[in-house]
Amino acid sequence: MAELTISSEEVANAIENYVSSYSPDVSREEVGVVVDAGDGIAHVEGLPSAMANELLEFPGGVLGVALNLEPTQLGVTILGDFESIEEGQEVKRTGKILSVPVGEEFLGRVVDPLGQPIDGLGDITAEERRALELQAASVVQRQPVSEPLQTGITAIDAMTPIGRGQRQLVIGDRKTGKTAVCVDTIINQKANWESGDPAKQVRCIYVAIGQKGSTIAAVRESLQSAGAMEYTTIVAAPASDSAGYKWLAPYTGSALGQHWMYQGKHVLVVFDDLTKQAEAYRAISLLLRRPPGREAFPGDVFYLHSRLLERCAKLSDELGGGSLTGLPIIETKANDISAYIPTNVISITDGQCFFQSDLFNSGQRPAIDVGTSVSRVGGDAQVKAMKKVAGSLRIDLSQYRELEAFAAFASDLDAASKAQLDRGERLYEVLKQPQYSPIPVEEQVVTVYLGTNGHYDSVPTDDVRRFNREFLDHVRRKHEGILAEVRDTGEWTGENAKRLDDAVDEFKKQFTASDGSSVVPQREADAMEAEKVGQETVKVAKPAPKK
Amino acid sequence: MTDSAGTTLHAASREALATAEQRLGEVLGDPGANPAVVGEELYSFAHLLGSEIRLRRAVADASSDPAARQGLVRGLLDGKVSEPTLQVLDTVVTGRWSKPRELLDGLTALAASALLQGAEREGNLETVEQELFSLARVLTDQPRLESVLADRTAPTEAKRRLVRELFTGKLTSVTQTMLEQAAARPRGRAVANALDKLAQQAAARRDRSVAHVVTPKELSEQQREALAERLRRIYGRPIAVHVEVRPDLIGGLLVKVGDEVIDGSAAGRLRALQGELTR
Repeated sequence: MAELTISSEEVANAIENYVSSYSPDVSREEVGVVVDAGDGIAHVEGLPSAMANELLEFPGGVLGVALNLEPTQLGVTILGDFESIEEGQEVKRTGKILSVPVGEEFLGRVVDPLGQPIDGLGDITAEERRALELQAASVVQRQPVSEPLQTGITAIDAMTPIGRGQRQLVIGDRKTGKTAVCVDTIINQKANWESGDPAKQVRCIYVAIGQKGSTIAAVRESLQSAGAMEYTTIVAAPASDSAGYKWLAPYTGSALGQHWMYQGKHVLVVFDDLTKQAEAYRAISLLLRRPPGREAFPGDVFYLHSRLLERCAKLSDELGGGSLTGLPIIETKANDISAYIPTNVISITDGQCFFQSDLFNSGQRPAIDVGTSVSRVGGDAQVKAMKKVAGSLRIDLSQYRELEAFAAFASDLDAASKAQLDRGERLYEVLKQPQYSPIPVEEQVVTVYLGTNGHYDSVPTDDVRRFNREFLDHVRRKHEGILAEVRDTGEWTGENAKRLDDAVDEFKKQFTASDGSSVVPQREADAMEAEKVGQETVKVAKPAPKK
Repeated sequence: MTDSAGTTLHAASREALATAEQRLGEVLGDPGANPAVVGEELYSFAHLLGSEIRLRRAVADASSDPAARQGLVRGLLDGKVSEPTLQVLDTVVTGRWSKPRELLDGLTALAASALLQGAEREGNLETVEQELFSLARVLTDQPRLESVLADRTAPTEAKRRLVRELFTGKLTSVTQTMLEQAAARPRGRAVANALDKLAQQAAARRDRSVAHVVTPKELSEQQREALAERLRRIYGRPIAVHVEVRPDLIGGLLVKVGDEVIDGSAAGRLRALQGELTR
């Protein structure tokens, strides 16, 4: 191996060239002095021309945001390491309002809330800088939500569909699968991305706020292994970051997304989770001595979330028709969705998916509570075929829930109630879906059609999922036409339904339940017509009486 | 809005202070009035108000009859202070102050103003200004002295003795009085800060802004003038150059004017370069 020799002169020259490219210009700078610092907050005297939300530079390159502008001093939130900040230090203005670099190169990267890469993959060349606090699109710049955003989760796509540009809240207790659903949604965009069609492609942004570093790493790992990292940016503000970072992270994610949206592209942003952002903002506000309100949150905590989520939009065609879909996550305590922050965000968003810990623990995953989950605008965006077949699904399921509670006390049930219970049980069974396995919409349509039309009724509950899986395999192999028609046209025709009915009848003949019985529905024999019914008669041969 | 004493005054107080300043100028315009005495007496009255909260409230109560407040002060001070001081105080107490605290701050500013006018009359205003600046640098370099002087719990008399012991004969009487007063009522802020503000007030009397210039070695008279001229051109107003010598600057100059810094020092450039390289 050739020895690598670089003379010290060469090194000196190289460094000289590097250094000479730096020209220190002596300019007038405005400086202030730190009056006090602590808990990530500093008060700074001086800097009379500092602007609201301006980035200030502390010694050592630590940045801060001027939040409170008071007569003689500024209240500053420090972004990053605040241990080194002391009284008497000089603070400089940067002249920059809070902004982050944005651009295409951010795809596949993990960045901090100031847009700096933290994944060790090198620098990111930004297209431009985008201010964090920009007004959302106005009324005339928008159009109604009309295109579907498939999550790949049958329960959501069938009952609480999400459209591009919609804000759908994902709410529930800790450990009920909220993050899993959002990660699955990102993974489900893979086919769209690979299609290369800009009208289909959805760029994804996952904003992790106040999460464990290990959780963020796990999410990244699962996106990576599913090949979804290619079109995803992760904005990470882990629990160890200062409150300032956690407060800013969602705005950074939103700014990245808006940049793409205004270029006419489709974007999905997941805020995981806004509860922690509200808590970080509460900490900042209390330390800045802003008056506390309910649950010690400051008065503008509603505005904190409303202005963030208003930036999700479906732009008008004149502006390129881009969209920014928001999936904010809120964590509840003991399934209480009527607490302060949950009600705030429910009122801001266009619907919510409520995840019940009871359902989750009983094995119903995703644990979506049908009764309290709703999508206010997604119906218009739903694939027509799905809309047609899923019409009665919600009602069937909620009636089942009602009846189930009632049936727990009754021993005898009439046939109609029993049929409804059987149907509901099977529908719930078929909506169960493991993590990282999004289902294409045409297969969802088939599954839901079979469920709502009673095709599963003859299959034992324990076998429903296996039946569904094997049947879909069968359809993919033998009846691709059924799936292709839904996929290509998005319509559900009677003809297609007929073909599917035939296919399922044929499939049932070869399917054996786990107890060995057949699942071909046993038709009850028709009653015979009255005249055909012969009566057994007994004739007593009695000799005629003797006369 | 920050006044010369470094405290925030609200609109009403600012107006009252301006009126009082004007009155002070008129009173001191009379050759019979001794500005040094007026200044000392105003400081004493401010001290009295500082310790007598009820009196402070009564004097600053804007809802009461101004004539009654004037009567109250006159009744209290008649024969104890000189007539020019009473004339100034008449204007002060009949004015409308936003808060009692601000009346007190205004009074302190007036007292300093009176002393500075005295120095101006004697022709050593510039000396006072330079002394105040140097004194502030001494205190910054001697944190122990600073903390002793800024100690709110220490008896005023002891602090005054300390100041006299250290500085008598080295400072003009005006500067010494100001230092004693700043130490007597530290108000929780650094004494050096208060002295800097007084130096600015003195410079303002000469229609100048203060430039705090740090150099690695003493500037020649010529350099000083050239620098003052250069700064005047940048800021569009005359600048009083206050020089502090700090060898660790290595070379170049560091100029602070108000909230602005022009860092042309070798140390500053090295720091900037370090930041560039470690980025």
